[in-house]
Amino acid sequence: MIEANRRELLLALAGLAGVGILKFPTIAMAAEELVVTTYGGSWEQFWRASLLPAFTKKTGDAPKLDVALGRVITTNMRAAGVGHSPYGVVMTNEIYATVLRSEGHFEKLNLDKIPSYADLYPVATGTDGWAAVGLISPIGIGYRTDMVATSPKSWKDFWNNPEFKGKTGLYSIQNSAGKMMLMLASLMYGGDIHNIDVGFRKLAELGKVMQTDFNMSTMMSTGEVVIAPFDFGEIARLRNQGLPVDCVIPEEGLLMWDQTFNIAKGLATSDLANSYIDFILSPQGQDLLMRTFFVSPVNRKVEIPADLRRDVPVSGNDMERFIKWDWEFMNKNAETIARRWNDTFGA
Amino acid sequence: MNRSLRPLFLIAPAAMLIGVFLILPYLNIIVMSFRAPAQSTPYGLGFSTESYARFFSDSYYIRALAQTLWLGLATTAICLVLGFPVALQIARSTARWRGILYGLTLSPLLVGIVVRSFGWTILLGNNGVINRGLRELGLIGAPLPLMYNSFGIVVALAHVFLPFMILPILSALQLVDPALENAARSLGASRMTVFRRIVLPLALPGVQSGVILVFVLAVSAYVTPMLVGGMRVKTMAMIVVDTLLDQFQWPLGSALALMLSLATAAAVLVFVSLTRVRWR
Repeated sequence: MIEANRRELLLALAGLAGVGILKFPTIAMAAEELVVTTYGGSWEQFWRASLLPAFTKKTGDAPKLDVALGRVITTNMRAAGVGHSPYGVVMTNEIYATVLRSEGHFEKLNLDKIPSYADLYPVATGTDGWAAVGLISPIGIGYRTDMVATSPKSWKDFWNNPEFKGKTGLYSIQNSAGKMMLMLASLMYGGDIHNIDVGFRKLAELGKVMQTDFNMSTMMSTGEVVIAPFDFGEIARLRNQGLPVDCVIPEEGLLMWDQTFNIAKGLATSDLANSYIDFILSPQGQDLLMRTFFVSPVNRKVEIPADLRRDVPVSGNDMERFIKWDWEFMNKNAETIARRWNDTFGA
Repeated sequence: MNRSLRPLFLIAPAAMLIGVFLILPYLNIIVMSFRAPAQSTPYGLGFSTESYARFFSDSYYIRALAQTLWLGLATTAICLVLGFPVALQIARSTARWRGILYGLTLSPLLVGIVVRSFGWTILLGNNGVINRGLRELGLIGAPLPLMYNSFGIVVALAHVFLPFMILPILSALQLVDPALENAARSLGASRMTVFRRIVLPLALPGVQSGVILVFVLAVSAYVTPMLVGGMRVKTMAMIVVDTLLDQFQWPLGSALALMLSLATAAAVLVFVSLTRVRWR
């Protein structure tokens, strides 16, 4: 048996306190602090410099910011287990949120504390109160105006216009935009987003495409690709930097990168979490996001100012032009689909 | 303190670091690889060898592993062929030049791997510097396939990892006493014989270290194959990341990671046994 005198016990306690300072998760739990997530780079800068200070000014509360991509958030929350999330409010694409929600990591929003929820476009409220889409980056067809003779109008132009052959960019299957392209091809040529046999056959007809995991702008700016699925905000950024690019809303509808806001289960700061989400969805929060990232506001009360209409072209009635996807289907068949994609586009 | 225990205390911090940050995670990966696969959770109840069965029965994974090893082998061979003469030249230089050349060899390491790999995409792309230059000179009509394939990846990896080949070989060559070569030459040996019978055997420990370093780094590379391969060439490292983080299949991802480690270790062991250095 280990015997310890008072001095040794004090040392041991001091040691534990030291570990607490190091923030070992099991010992130093930040129980009462709300942790909200965003992405790195310009997202983090905006959250720290503008969004969180505005929220603090309005409510007096100051959430802690953590930076992580959806795949990292998913991994960390799974590793921590249900009810022990390292995050309070999780911002991520719905494709990741679907997985975590089905595993019980989230709790329903308290809509009484989120009055802005009632003002959202239907496209932002598709989860029956489990989450709200706080940011929408609509994805249309982006193209180089100086390298393309016939401007695209339809997603089918990827297949039908020979001048795009060998110069088409696609997001890889790891990106939700890659998965959307597969479902889109299945829908356009097979009548159903689940008809992926047809989707893959049609994608194969595109031949060698340029793929990227996340950054299409570089390939577009170097001229490696002349056409690609592109979010309007990024096209606006490139255009404002002087690159000859434009983006159109295709006849068949829009893809989108959605950022859903979810609350972790068993959160001690649940009220604050709901209040934070309300701020994100409010006209004030949406206006800040729109001006920085050129995202389409999800709140119907937000008017697009005249000087932003070119950079934020999707709003009002166009908010009904997003195609609906089946993320559960894609997640369930993720491995098979990734392998077929790699076989289709492999070197 | 007992004198015989003192070395144990000295290595304790390093041993603890290795234990906590290498051995424990590895054990965790081994256990995870034997977990039962599941659909709506990262892994199911109980244990299973299904992930390994899938690896061995599926040509997709075997092909990816073979391709990864081949990329590693090609990169290592190119680094060796390019790196040995450079190391030899630096070792033979005057002290002043040696410092300059040593600095030049190290300089690529001062730039991040992402930036270096991205630089290659600017050079090798279909609309990149090389293809555009050749097109404008009228030498080619269509772009040469320099990127988005294994060729581009090997070129970029060889550039990224070349210093890791040069430095160990240089260290070994600097230990070679020039008097040995002079003695051999004075006894009538040709330059080639001196190189083959004296320089190369004495440089072998450095070659061995360099080859192992470059090979292990190349087969586990992620950023360069992703950027330069344009997601068309799938290496095992990329498949492991996809399986773990995008498909959420922890047992299969762990099994794939372990198979890559085992195959790499086996290749290194074969190489070491073929090039055994006799330490005296």
